[in-house]
Amino acid sequence: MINIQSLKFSYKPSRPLFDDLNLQLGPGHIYGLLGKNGAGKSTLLKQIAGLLFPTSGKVEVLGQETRFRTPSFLQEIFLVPEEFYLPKISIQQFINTRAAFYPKFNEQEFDTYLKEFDIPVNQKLTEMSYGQKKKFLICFALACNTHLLIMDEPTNGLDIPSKSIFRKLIAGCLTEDKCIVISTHQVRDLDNLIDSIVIIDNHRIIFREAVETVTDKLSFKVLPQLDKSIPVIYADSNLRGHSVVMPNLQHEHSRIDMELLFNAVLSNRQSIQEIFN
Amino acid sequence: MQPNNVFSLRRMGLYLRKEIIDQYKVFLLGTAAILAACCLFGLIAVITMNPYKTSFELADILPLYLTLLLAFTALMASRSFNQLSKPERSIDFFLLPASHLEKFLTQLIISLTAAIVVFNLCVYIGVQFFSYLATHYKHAEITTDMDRFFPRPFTIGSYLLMVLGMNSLYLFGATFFHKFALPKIFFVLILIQTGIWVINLGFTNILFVGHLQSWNASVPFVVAGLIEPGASTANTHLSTGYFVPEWLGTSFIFIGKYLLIPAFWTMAYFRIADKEIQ
Amino acid sequence: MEFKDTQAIYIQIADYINEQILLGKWLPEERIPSVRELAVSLEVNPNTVMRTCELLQQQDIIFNKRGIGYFIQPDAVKKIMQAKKDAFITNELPQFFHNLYLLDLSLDDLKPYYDQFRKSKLNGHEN
Repeated sequence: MINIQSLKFSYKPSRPLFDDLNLQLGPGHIYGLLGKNGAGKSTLLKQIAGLLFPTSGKVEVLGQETRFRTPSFLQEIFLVPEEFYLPKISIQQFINTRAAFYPKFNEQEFDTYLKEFDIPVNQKLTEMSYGQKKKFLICFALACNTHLLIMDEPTNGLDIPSKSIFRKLIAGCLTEDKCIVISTHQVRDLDNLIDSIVIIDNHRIIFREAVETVTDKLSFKVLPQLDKSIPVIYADSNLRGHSVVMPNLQHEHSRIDMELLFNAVLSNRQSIQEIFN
Repeated sequence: MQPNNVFSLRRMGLYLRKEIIDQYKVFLLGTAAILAACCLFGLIAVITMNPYKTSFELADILPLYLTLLLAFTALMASRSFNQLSKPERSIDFFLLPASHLEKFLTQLIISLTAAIVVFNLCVYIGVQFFSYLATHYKHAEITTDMDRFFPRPFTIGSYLLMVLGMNSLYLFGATFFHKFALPKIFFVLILIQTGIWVINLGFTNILFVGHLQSWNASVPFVVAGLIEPGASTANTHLSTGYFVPEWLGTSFIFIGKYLLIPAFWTMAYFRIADKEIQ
Repeated sequence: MEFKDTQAIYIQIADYINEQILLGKWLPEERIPSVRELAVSLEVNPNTVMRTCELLQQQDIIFNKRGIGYFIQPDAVKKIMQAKKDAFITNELPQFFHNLYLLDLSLDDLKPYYDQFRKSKLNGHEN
């Protein structure tokens, strides 16, 4: 689905951002793109959406180079940015003018999504709050049924019930031919949805594994106390005890803690790499 | 089904429709404002009318009309890509599934339609309004001398060409400036013209040193005003304007008419197609 | 459904499905909700539910009718019970015995307590 090959890119020639970045993402998955502020997440998403052009190398989606922004590529991608623009028109007008550009747009689905989020259909887009606008855009994005759906911090600005509805909608719309990429800091909102993790740090992909592989090789648990004999990769001490990441030696089926994994990968990259290679 | 990635009439129709509906309020308000201004102008002209002068020649408004027409053309062309002034609007602009050519042509059509159709319609209504008031309440006599509207060698085509030229220049400029584009483009154009004039001054003063009528007696690309050597006496100058040769002059006109306008449009198109969002 | 932090989600979903079967909410030989329906109602990735179904299929609790969905095996209840017993004996019983041993209690000492518990459960059931 997404094929990035030896991507080089920089805003200024003196400061290369991406240097020989490679990444392949396939259909049928929900990818979580994690990284600190300024790690290069949005730059990468812009490359994928064809909003930035590689200095060298190539970025392809469905076999088409994204930088040309051809209609056949654009009608198969939807990007829900963190800051987005909606024209000052009604929902109906928005659908009337834009849905026709997406061949697989499904109005019935769109109406159901709106209803789930409790957004009245006859409302003007300008009269909505940020959260409502965001929910509206998510509804539209899902109803477009594009092969690739990219969302930057989708749960930002959503209230607690809306987050739950959001998870239901995403869980319901994933099909074998769709690829969903979610960039987020709020992993706890989405950790049961994401099935593959991509961690970007310092403009490099430093980790890219399926959740299944992660829990096969690593075990996440809370220990009452730390002990020299326990091969801990990363530990976070809190009131409950010590949340630790350690090699999964006993073939346990622990539940992934993405925040913990993220911190482990950033702080102890070498041990993680040894385990996964 | 693979869609046509360069141009599809249906998709461009959809895009044009989308652009108009997205901004219908701006367009309606703008049209209403121009119409109101034209009518107000007619009203003021009637109120301040000289009671002893009762005959009017409509062609008298030609200079004003032409100035406003070109200014409005510049305004409409310069705002063509104001969507690119904010990153979130740029994302919306670039990711909507239509080709760059369709998006570009849509802006071209909107800016030209506004300048040619909407503006002229408003002026026409304003003039009719004025004529009605003037003939009914002031008993004035309005005459319309079409020949004076198109003083030789100007034809309707030359006015159209001016509009297209203005449009191409400011549309090209609009690919550089997205916010407050009109004054910025205007300022840059003045700078460029001044630059050309200064360079030309340098060249003419070097080439014709001692022969110029005065240091600034030249117009770039067209003419240099010289004093014939040895022919001047204390009281009389025999001065000659050295025009460019006729073949070069007609080439200039040809380039200006048929090449420069499409060239600016083409460059504007490629600048949009190659634009990235930081 | 609230997930616990400790165990893999796909196993927790398997437990959830087993519980529905044990409680008689989903009956043997009937179709269980589709992968997508389960994913939506539990707010999890459909691939995770898929993994759960594969696990349950391996354990012969459900079976796949191609193109229709997953159905509960006729003897699913028995199998789940057996699996739960096995899990209890391997996971919880050693800890329980450990406590008995510490407190110096014999199994006979426990019998009256257990009889009473069963009685109250049975009565509770009748009411």
